[in-house]
Amino acid sequence: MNRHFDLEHICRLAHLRLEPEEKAKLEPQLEAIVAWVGNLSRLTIDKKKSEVKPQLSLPLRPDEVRPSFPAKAVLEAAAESDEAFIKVPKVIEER
Amino acid sequence: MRVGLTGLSLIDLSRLVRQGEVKAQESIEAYINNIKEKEPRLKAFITVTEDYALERAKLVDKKREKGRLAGVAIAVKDNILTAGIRTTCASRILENYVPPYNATVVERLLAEDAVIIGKTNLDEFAMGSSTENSAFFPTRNPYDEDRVPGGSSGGSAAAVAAQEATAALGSDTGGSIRQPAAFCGLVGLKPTYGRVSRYGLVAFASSLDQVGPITRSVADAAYLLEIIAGYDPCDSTSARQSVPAYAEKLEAEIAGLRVGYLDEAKVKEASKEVREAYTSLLHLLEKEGVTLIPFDFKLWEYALPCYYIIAPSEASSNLARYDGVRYGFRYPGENSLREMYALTRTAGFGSEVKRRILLGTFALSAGYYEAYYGQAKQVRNLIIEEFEQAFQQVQLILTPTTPEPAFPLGAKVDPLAMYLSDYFTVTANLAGLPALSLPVGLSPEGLPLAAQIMAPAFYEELIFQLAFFLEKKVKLNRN
Repeated sequence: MNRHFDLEHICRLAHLRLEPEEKAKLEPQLEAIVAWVGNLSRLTIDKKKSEVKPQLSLPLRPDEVRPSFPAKAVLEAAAESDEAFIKVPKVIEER
Repeated sequence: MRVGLTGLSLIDLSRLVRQGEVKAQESIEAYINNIKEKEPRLKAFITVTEDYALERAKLVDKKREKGRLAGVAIAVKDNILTAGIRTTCASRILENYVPPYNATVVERLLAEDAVIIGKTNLDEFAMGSSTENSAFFPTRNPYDEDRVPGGSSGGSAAAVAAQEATAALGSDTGGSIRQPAAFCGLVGLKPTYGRVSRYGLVAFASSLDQVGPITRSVADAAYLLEIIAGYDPCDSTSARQSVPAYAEKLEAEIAGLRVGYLDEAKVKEASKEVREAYTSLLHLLEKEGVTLIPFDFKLWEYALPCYYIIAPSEASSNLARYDGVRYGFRYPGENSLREMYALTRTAGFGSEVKRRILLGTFALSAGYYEAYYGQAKQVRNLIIEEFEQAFQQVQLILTPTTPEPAFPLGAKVDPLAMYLSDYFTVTANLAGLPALSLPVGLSPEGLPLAAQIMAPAFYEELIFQLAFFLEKKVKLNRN
């Protein structure tokens, strides 16, 4: 199954870039791990028995207005901010 | 300073402070002195909150009505949010992150007048079994400084074992409380999923994570769980169940208990000393009138690969939020948004975190989702069902906690070899069950050996009772 493991594609999906040395180290490790976890496919599963059981209840808290974090505290944690906004690089890229 | 304050149990120390026989300040100063002496070698803490802790201790001393944790020093794993105190997850990406709020568990400690003495080291984002994956430094085992303290809550365990804290909080996604507790000769409990609020615990794998106590005795673990457990409206997965007075119900009749144990085939990969300690524990229980029932768990071998699909899948999703926008590190320079995301994450995450994000991204990707994540979810359901069947026959299940005692620093470079450390512990997380590790002996080299007691969901009380009994029976030469 791991023949199809395309590290570059997975890196793009995960927003990660690997240096050639890191890639050379990680690729065989990941292939070995994927082959190992792939052992699960050897199990023949009776779909009826393994159906997902719904949790008994996950009650939500009352839909009431509550105080939120002060904007200042939230903005302080951001990498860059400007008055009431978090600053990000330009989202629309030129082609 | 009185000699021996740091060696007192959490229950005894808090009682003496409440009774006015010991001042909180005196207690905290004793811990700070211990930290100053031992930290240069052990490195259990990422942040020691000396000034803050002494200030808090003085406030506690001024209070007329003191809480149940008055004057005790609690070390908190650095993936649990503490308002105004840096919380790094041992990652470069959160190196300078100061949370604006406390985790619910921290609020509950503070409400009982506990003093947070510092934030402890861990494997980055709790991913690892040795604390060597910390982006900052490895922590050493107080029993043997050339060995690991276990992980990922290795800093919490080392701090408690070295008397740098009265007790600690850890988090457990696949064994991260129990394995370091085992390596450091301590008691560590992963509570039932939903028993303790996860609000303010930095998410690794949300369906598996739980916060729990690491202590020097069973009674302390029971006492601390009582305080941190209970429903929290901020965590929709926390259970609306009342919390028993665990610490008051430790004495119980053991004879007649039905306890399941793993047959030889399941423990054959464990080291000789672990197998011997396990066997002698079973003999002891049998002599005490416990009914032992062999437990043929068909899917035990599949639990680890199942876990290593589910946990990385959830991690890849949870860690998507670290993109240099809302918190933490941002890669400097004039980059496009996409470039900034990738550069920030590449520079901010360490190797093990990248490995797990990539593995999880793969398992959830188009074309592979059903074969990997879908299959793992089904296997997880079958594991839950096997436990349900087992608990129709037995009340508790006893296993070793780890396949071997603490291993030397740098001994496990192959990630797969490291993953096998979780062989006995991951099933409890997959099934959401409570499980406690307690010391049951020492290896010929003087390293702690441990056993794990598992119970049906919300039966922590029964676990504590057997553990309390065993603790009295198994005398250890603690250092």
